[in-house]
Order: sequence, then structure tokens, then C-alpha cells
Amino acid sequence: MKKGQAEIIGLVVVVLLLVFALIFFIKIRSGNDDNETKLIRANFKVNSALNALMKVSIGNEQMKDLIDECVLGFNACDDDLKNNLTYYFEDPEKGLFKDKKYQFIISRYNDDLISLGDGCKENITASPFVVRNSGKVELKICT
Amino acid sequence: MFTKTKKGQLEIGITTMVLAVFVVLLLISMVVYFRFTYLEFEDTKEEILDQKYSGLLNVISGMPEFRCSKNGAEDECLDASKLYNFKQKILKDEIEDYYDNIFGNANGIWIDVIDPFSGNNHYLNSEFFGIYGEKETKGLIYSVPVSIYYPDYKKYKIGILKIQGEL
Repeated sequence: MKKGQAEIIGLVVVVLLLVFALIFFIKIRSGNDDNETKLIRANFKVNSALNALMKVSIGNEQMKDLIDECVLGFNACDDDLKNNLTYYFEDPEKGLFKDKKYQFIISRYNDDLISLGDGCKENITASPFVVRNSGKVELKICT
Repeated sequence: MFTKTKKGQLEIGITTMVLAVFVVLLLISMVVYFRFTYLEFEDTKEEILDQKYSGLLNVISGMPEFRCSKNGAEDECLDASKLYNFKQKILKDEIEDYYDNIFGNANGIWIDVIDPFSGNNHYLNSEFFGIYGEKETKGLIYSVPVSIYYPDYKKYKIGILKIQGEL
């Protein structure tokens, strides 16, 4: 091998090493770092949303009363309750999660009575609202 | 003499090529480095603002000036009757300085009410409650859903407490 060829191979090796170092640097810097404080804040928001939703007045009752009746089977879950929930979650102007992915489930003994939103793999879940031991209301916001 | 000149030209050629490659790599590295530094700076700025205003959202939702209570027991909601005239009241009582210290350099703090029947200026039907500064000026908006209680009508609505601010 001539001296010139050896030097070119050396140069190519150095260049390749530098390119690999650059790719490694970019990959490390662009990695997502979901820190704990962000999760705490998201948790505060999702719990506040569920608390506000359970309290809201619908006619002379509150949302939690309508959910109670739905879980106990006194009232159809699909009519007033579902319409109001859909409005509060998805109204294009004022909805709480109009531009976010979420999942809201009302269940009785693990059977879903109402399920809204698509949900996702990674989410923050509010502390579930338990209805008369048999029912559960869950709200998840995708992160 | 002639061979020495050829060898020298080859050495100069190699050195020039090495220099050119290193200059190109150095430029690319500098561009990438400054781009990432800028992005990191923007992320840090957003993180600081997010922490600052999320803390403030928490503070506001717990302030006795707004918090609702029933029979002396505090509840997880904001009192609409307290919110309704808050801005006018602090101006009238000339206590803006006190709230300037609490709310810092937020450009605006307000609550948007989510209600299918809202639309006029009556306090039950008010679409929003202004707390501080102006609504929708400049800066990023940080928000949290809150429950709003109307004591005169014994009704609850959902609101979104919003803070708009920048560094």
C-alpha cells in the first residue's frame, strides 16, 4: 500500500468516527425526557377535571347523581348523561378535551356502561370516583 | 529535484483535503450544537414558565378570595359570586399592589365557563370571569379545569382557569 492510500484510509476512519459521534450526540439530545414534575402537573389537571365534572349541575341534579342512577340502573345511561358528557368533553368550542386524547369510562362490576374517547398506551389516570361500591368512574388523559 | 516537487505537491494536496474535511465537519458540528443549545434553551424557558404558572394555578384555586365553602367547610370549587366582582373590587379598594405581588408578571388570569346556556352579562350566565390583567393578550396559556359554584342558585358549572404569561 502506498503512503497516500494509507493516509486517505486514516482520514476516512477519522471522519467516520466523527460522524458516529455526531449521530450519537443527536440521538441522546433529542430523546424524550418526561420528568416527574410534568407528570405531577398532569395529575393535578386530570383530577381537577374529574372533580369539576362530577359536581356540574344538570337541571336540578348533579352529574354524579346522573351517574349514580345510571350505575344503579334507574336511568338510561345513553340519553341525557351521555349527551352532557360528550358536550363537556368534546364540544368544538368549549370542550375540556377538544384537542386532546382522553378516555372516560363509567363501569359497573368491570362492565363498561359508557366509554368515551379512544384512550392510548401512555396516560395519566385520575383517582377513580367510586359509585355505591359497584360502579367506577375513570378519566385518563394521554401524555 | 523534480521528484521532491511532486512529493511536496502530494503532501500539500493531502493536507488541504484533511483541512477541508475538518472545516466542513466543524461547521456542521457548530450548526448542530447551536441548534440543540437553542432548542434546550427554549425547552428550559417553557419548563420554567410551566412550573411557575402551574404553581400559580394551584395557589389561585386555593385562595380564600375565590374558594367556596358551605356552612364553614371548604369545598373543592370556586365561588362565582366572589369571582364576579373581584377585578372591580381590587381596583375600588386600591389593593392592586397586593395582587401584583401574588400574581407576578402574568399578563392575564381569567376563567372561561363551559356552559351550553351562557351568553349574557348576568353573573349566572357570564361566559368568563376576569381575575387579573387582560384576557388573551400575549404569551403562552396555562390552564386547569375548575368547578364553579353559584351560591344564589345552588348550581355548579365547569370552568377553565387560565393564566397567560411569558418570561
